[in-house]
Amino acid sequence: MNQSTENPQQPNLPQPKLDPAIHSKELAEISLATAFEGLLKRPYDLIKTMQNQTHTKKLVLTLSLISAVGILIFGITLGSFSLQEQIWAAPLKSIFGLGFSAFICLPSLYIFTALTGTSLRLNEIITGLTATLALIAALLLGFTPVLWVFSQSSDSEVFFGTLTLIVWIISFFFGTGILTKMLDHSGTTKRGPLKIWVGIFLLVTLQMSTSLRPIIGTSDKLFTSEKRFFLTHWVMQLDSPRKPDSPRNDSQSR
Amino acid sequence: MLAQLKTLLRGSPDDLKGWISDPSSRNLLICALTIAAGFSTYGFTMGLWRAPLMGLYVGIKMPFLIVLTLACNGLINGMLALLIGSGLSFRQSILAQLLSFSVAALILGSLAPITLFMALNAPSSDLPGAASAHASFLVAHTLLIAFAGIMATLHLARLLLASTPNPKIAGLTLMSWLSGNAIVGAQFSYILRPFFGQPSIAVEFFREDPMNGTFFESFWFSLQKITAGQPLPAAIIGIAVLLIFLSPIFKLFSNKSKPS
Repeated sequence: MNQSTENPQQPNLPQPKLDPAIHSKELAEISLATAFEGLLKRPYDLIKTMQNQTHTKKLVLTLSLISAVGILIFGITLGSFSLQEQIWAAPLKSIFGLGFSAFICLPSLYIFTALTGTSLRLNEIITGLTATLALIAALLLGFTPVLWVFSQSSDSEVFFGTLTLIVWIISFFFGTGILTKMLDHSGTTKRGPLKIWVGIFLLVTLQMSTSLRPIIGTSDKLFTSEKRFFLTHWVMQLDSPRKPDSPRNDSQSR
Repeated sequence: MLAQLKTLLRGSPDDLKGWISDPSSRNLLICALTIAAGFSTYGFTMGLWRAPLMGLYVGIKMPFLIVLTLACNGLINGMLALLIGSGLSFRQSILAQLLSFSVAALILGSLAPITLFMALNAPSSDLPGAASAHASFLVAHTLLIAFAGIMATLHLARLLLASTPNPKIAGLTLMSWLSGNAIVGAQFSYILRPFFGQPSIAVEFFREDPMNGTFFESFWFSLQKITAGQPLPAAIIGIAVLLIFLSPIFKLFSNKSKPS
């Protein structure tokens, strides 16, 4: 006889899942460790902390520090592909490029989030964008060992450039996810304008990597003065023949 | 003023209705200033690639295009709104259209740092890659302006749905305003050309013969040229693309028309 051990009065129903957007709580303290953990494990708690204006300055500084360190190490890894002056130029260009891209995209982020119907304030948007950069940087930091292995193993700029691009796109989309969560937390269901902004921000960062070239590979000059659209540049890179005697010495690097 | 503009961007029907129920001179001024600032900043970055002087010209012409379109259509749009039974006064009709253009101005103005970066990073107009840069510019700006236009129209649609007696009247009012503004606006954009500035043609405020021809004839001739004398299929595809772009507006009206 198949006897049930369950109490008929209290059936063993699955526990209702708590909505993290509603049941979030502020981080107990703001430090590098808690901010890093908040970015990766408890994004809604971090978003809740962003709403408290008394913590804004400290939170922005902490997140900026995480971004700077992450991008610096990522940049050094990119520079290690060519070594020489790229070991210091690539990290500086990476930090400047991402920072400047975020700066010129901030006005449109403010307007596009307002179009979704949220009531997020400018300082929340700034903190959210800083958190996005910090999460991108944290993910790039995570990918750094993989990139380093390939930077030391491969001589092909096209291969290393493609790998970096894939890593960038993965980190970018996870990173910008924090903005989507901010919208969820603010109660709006419209996401269209933000998705368009994410696309624009991605295009700006890709163009920035071309404007600040070379980041991978070396050149006689620190910056290439010729202006070029990033897709045109990529196609030209794919078509350009490799130099057999000095495979890493190409002035038209990404 | 900033708080009011943010409310406008959020596009909540009640807030939009609040704007329209108070067609004060202050609200009209806020919209006029927003349009002037947003469109001239964006216009400057649009013309800058060709030459800084062209940027200055386009920066002046873009807000002027909006003013001319509204000045030309304001009277007939106000009358149509009354005849259709929207219940909106002349002043409210003007403010509603200004609100919609303000949304577009805010979106385009906020994108101006990005389009400035785009202009500064494209090959100069005197270099071999100029033709492809001009084409890329044309596509990018068309997409950005189309997005701003759709968002502005969505706001106008929400406003009309909230302020008029029923969705049918709101739809008719929107359609009459949009078609009038599109036809007149297109012709004014033709008269005020150039905006993008072809690399092969000298920088100038107006073309030598600004009033000679119409936008629609010019568009049809261009279509004939690029389709080797078969413009009809291209026109049908163009209309289909336009309908896809306008689908959020159709969706808004179909949701409102459903009985609750």
